[in-house]
Amino acid sequence: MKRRHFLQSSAAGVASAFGLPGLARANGAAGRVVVIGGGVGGATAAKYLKLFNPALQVTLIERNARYVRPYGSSEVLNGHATMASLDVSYDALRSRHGVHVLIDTVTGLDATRRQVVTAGGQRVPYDKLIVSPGIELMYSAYEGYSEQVARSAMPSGWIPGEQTTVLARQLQGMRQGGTFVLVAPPNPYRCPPGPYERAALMTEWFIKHNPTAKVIVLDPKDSFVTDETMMLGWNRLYGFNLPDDYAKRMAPKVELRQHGQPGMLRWVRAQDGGRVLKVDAKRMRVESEGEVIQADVVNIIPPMRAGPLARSLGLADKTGWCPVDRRDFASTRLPDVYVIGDASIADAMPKSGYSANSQGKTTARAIVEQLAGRPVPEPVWENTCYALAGKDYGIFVADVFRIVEGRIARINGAARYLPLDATPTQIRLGARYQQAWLRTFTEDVFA
Amino acid sequence: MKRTVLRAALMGALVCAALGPARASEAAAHGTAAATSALTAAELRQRLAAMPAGDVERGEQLYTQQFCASCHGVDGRAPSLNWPSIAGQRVEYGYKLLQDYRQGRRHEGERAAVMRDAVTGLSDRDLADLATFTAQLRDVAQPALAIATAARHSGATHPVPVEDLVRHGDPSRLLTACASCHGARGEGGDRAQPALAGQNPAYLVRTLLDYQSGKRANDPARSMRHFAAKLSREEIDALARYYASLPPVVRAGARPGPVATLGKP
Amino acid sequence: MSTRLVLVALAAVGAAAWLAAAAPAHPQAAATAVPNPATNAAAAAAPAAASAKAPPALPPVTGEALAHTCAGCHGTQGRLADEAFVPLAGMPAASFVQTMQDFRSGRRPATLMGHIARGLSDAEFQSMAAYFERQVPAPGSAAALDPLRAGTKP
Repeated sequence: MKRRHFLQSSAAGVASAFGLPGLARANGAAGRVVVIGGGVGGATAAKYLKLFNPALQVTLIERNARYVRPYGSSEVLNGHATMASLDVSYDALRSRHGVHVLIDTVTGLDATRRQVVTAGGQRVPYDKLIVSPGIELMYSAYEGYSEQVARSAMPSGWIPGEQTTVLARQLQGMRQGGTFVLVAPPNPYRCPPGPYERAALMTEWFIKHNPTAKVIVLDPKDSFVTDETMMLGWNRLYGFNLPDDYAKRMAPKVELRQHGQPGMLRWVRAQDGGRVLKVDAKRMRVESEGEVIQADVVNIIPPMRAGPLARSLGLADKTGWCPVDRRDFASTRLPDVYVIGDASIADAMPKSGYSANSQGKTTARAIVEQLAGRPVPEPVWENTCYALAGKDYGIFVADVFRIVEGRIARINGAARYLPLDATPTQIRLGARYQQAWLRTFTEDVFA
Repeated sequence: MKRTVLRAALMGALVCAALGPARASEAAAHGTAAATSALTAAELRQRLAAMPAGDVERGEQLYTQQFCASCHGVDGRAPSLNWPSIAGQRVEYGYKLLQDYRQGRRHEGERAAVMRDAVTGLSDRDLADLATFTAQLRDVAQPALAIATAARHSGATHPVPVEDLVRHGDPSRLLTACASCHGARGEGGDRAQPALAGQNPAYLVRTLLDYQSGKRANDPARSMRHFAAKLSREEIDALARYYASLPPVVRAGARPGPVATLGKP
Repeated sequence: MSTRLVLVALAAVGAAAWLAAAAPAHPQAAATAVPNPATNAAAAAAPAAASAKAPPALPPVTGEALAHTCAGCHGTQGRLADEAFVPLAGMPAASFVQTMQDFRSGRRPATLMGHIARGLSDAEFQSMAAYFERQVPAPGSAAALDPLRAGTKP
């Protein structure tokens, strides 16, 4: 009798001592990896951890029951997509890949015991922890701006959700001849071409529905990723005249139009006073270094830093972003913790969904090898993003990255954008590929 | 001899058309787009009669502008199994097909959507130029793909008596010979029946399956769907292998395609 | 069966499983050197120009890892259903290599594949090609429909 009890109670113990996967799963003998953050970085890491080693116990902790994808979210503003189409479920991660998705909020970390503490009262143990906390928008960077203002008078929507809906309503309901001001962020920020894609899509929409409207982009920068190709599109579609330095650079390579009557879209760079100083939500005014603009709709994309969790867990440095080992994105601040995605300091890699997806995979591979006591191979990353200068005008950036002399660098040479001499069909094809990419990319992350 | 074959083909088509209603309702089940996608024989004749004369040089420029080589290869030989080869294709078929895309008669999915984008805004003359150019394309064998194909063809046997089907058809199923429309050597016909010789076998399989399911419905006189409906999957695979193994059509004066100058670093 | 026998059997099975788990699951990850993670961190931070004290070479990136960078457009493991992009799962290796070389040289036009291809070497094309050729193609994709695919009934 006694021996049988012993057998039953110790079967799992014996099994885990010998690493028998099935019985020992509850003890996570093959390795327990916890991922905090169910965005692109975290979801990719969780999925690929299970692909690389199905015996791993992988838990994804995410605050929201469903994910609202930010990439392509500007297409809700011009009615080209619905808010519902931005929704992504975690079901496939659960059912197809065996990721344990825990909908809960992380309140703390016990780094000694290696446990994640949640608001729901769980203490989730880990051998390795991946933190992919995304970004935090620093509303207080501008005098007169706050989260409260972002929820009402001057939505941001850079993290999509209710603010996106409010902004879409404001834009589509703007009075005829009204002024739309978009405040672009300083470097570094999530999705480098994003603010300019947003301005472009709204300009395209206004030309049809509000032809006397004005669109003003106020920028604390003098350039941006994809600037030449994006503004070439503006030149062709929206009567935009390129700034002199761009025109001089580009004219030898491609025919530029000179519009006697410029169109509704203005880009005010830092050197021309584009840096914003303060906003007045009550009077709907935006004051930049160069001017004071009376606006009807104001969309502010404020400066950003790593998500709040990065700071509360002690992973961020003075810059507000998280320093990591380039090889495996292990945090330099806490052992057995890795930081990926927008929150990480990744040198030349832009803060983009594709970068987060790429980092999720290399970090997952690194963790699998490290848990098995094997060396981590050289990582290679990619960032391949399509963006729109108009509904049928697709542009892109495409880069390959490796570690060169200790830092992550682009290694694919000077060319990374749509060539300036691309044909109309190539451009139209780019727009179709952009739509396809929204689908295939989402599937690679979540399905 | 040719007229007898022609008459036999017409008889076959008439018989198949008589069996039409059952199949047409299937097609209708795939939406009115499918039902209206196919030209009648008379409409096809009119289209071909109205086809402008095509210019090879203009066609070559268009081939570059419209970015055709990005999928169909510089020489019109499919660089992967994903798309068909178009080198040496019949001018009438190329013209009719591009018109079908421009008019939205091809809607099987994302690849058809890409083709629609590729021909948006082109005139009938542009389409004729493109078709004339691709007819003159000679596929300069890309060694890797050729090796892969040859390796697979070597020793390939056809346990399904597909050559019989190709040359004689099957009276018991009211199937006329494939060759009666597609040519004794798979070189196609002058009523826009496409050349099949040397075609990408995966493409041929997909095409027959799409005709079977109604996903593709731009077959003039609704003829191909009746053939496809009667074929087993083994026969479809065997027919695809057979036609893929035939030497591709090369016309007098054929030439390789324009090497890409866009997108160079 | 006696309890003792069961215990011994369990132990034997457990030992076998432990041995299996300890074997490398991924041949490509087999190392030529076995670097210390601490050394790796130092190596990553220090310039590679450091001569005599150069850290051990990292195992090279695997074809599989490179292939995963493609998945955002070409599908996880190269598996893609009806889409504008080309599925890569099951693509004959020679075809993949030739295609990437043509993209890199500019002989074949593309929207952005030229840029990607210019970041990779011939050897890397080969290793990626080998990975993709092994992957089971998604149903309905060209490789799945190919009647000449190895393993298809003649």
